[in-house]
Amino acid sequence: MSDLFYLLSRYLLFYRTKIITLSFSLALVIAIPLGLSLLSNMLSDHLKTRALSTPLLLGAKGSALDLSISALYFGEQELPVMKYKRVDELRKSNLSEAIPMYRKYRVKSSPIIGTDLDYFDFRSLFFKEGRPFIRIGECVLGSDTAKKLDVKVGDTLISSPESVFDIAGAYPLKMDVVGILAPSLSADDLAVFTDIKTSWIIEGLAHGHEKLEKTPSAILKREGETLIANASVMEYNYITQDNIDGFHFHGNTDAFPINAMILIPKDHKAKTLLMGRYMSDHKSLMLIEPKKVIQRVLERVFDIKDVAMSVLLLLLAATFAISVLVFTLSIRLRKNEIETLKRIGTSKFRVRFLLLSEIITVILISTVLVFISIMITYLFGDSLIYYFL
Amino acid sequence: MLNIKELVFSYPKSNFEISIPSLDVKEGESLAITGPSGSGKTTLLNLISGILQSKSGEIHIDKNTISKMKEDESRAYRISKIGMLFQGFELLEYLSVYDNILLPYRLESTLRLDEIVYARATELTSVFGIADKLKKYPSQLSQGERQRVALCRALITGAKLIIADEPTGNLDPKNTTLVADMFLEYLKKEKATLITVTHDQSFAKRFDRQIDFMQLLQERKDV
Repeated sequence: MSDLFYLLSRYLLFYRTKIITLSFSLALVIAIPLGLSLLSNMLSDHLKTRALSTPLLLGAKGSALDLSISALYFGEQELPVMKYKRVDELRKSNLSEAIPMYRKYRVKSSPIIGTDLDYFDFRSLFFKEGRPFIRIGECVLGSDTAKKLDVKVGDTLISSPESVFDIAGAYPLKMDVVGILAPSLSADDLAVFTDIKTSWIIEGLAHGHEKLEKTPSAILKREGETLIANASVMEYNYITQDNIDGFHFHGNTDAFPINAMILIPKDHKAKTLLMGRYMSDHKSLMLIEPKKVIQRVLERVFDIKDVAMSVLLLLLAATFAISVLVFTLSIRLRKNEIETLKRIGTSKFRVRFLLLSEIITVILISTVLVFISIMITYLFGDSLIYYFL
Repeated sequence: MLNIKELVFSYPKSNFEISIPSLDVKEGESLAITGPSGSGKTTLLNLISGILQSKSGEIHIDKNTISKMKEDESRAYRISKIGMLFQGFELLEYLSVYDNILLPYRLESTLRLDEIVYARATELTSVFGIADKLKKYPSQLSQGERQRVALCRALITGAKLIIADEPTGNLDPKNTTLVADMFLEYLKKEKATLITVTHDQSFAKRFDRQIDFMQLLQERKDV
C-alpha cells in the first residue's frame, strides 16, 4: 500500500494547482454558509444576552433601535437628550433603580460613558487593576481600551475635542486613570467610564478656574458680590486635589443632559406601572424593553440571512456540479493511463484506488479546511462580533 | 519459450475471429510479425500476454499455460514475467523518468523494490543513455528518449519475454535505428525473447525471424 500512496503523492504533487484549487473552492462554499450560520447564531446570542440583562431603557422620544444600540453597545447613534431630573424622579418613585448614561464624547475612538457607580454592579464588571472613580476628573477604562491606548492605572487621558474649528465648544479634559476593568467580552471593554458630572465638565456645563480675586485682569465687572470674568480667564483642563474646589456648575444639574437611563424595576408590578406611565402617550420620553427591540432586529437579520444562505446554497450546488464535472473529465483524461496500467498488469483494486484517491484527497483537504475555519470562527467569533458592535 | 497450439479467439458480438494452428518461439529469439492493419496482430500479442482470453487452444510460456490462467493470475504473471512495450510508450506524465521505470514494482505487491532493482535501473538507464534524465518528466523528453524510458520499464523486472506493439511507430528513422540497435543488442546479451508487431520493414529485418501474420492464420472469418 505504501507504493500506492507514493504514486498518489506523485500525482497530487504534479497536479497540485488543480487539487488545491478544487479543495479550496469546495471548502469555501461549504465553510461560508456554515460560518455565517455560526456567526449569526453567536451574534444573536450576544445581542440577546446584553438585551435580556437590561430590563428597561428610558430615553427621549425617538428611535427605539437607536436608543438600544447606543445604550447597550455604545453605538455612535446621536440620541436626543433628556433632563437629569428624570433620574431623581424615578428613584423617588420607588418603582425602580435608575442608572443614568451620557454618551457624547470620546477618547480617540473609545466612547466616554458618563454614568454612576451602580453601572459596574449592574453589569457585573470587575476591576483588574485599580478602583472605581470617586471624584470628578477620574476615569475607568475597559480592558481593550487600556490596551489600545497603552495606558495603565496612574496615567492620564485627554478627551478628544469635538471639533478643532469650534473654539467655543467643548475642549479636552485631562482625566486620571484610576481603574481598568477585567475583560467582559462586551461593549464595556471598549469604553471609558467617568462620573456623569465629568461628562458635563467636558461638555462645558461646569468648569474650574483660578479665583478671580487673584487675577484682576480676568474680571469683566462686579455685580454686588458676584464677579464676572472676561474671556481671558484660564479654565482648568485637569482636575487635581488642589483645584477641585474651583470647579462649579453653572445652572441647575436637574436640567443637565443625559441620553439614556437603565431602569431595573423592583418587581413585576413596578415594571407594569412604569410601562403604563411611559410607554404610551408620553410627550417627550419613551420606555422600551431592549429584548423586544433586539428580537425584532434579529428577526429581520435572520430573514436576510435566509436569503443569503439560499444564494450560498445555490453557489454550493454549482460548485459541487463543477467539481463533479472536473473529476469526470479528469477520469476521462486518465483513460489512457488506466489502459496502460491494466495492460502492464495492475490489479483492478489498484487502478480504482489511484483514480478515486484524487477525489477522496480533495474531499479530505476540503473537510480539514472547513473544520479549521469553523474552529477559528468558533474560537474568535465572539471577539469579532463585539469588536464590530 | 513460447508455444501456441490451435489458438482460436473472437471478440464478443463480432464476426472477427483469428485462428492460429501453431507458433513456436525459442528462448532468446527475436520474432517480428508483420501484416496488414486490422488483421489481428495486436490481438495476438494481447492473447500471448494474457490481456485477452482465448476461446480455445493453448498458449504456453515456459512451463506456464497462460491460456488457462484466471484473470488475476495472468495479470500477476504479466507484470512480473512479461515486459510490455506500447506504440505510444504510455508513460505516466506525473511520474519522473526514474519512477516510470520502477512503475511495475509500485503496482504489484509480489515484486519487491530493493537494492538489486535500483542497481538494475541504474544499469538500464546507463545502457540506454538516459542516466542524466532520471529526474525529468516525460513532457520534457524527446520521442526517442521517451521510447528508451519505456524500454527500461519493460526490462526492469528482468522479464525473459518482451512483447512490443509497434515500438518504433512514433519514431523517426534516425531514432528507430538508434533504439533498435540498443534494444536488440541488450536482449541478445540477456538472452531474452522478443516478439514484436511492426509495419516497419527495415526494423523487421533486424530480427532473427520475420513472419507474415496472414501466413500464421489457418482461416480468417470477417464480414
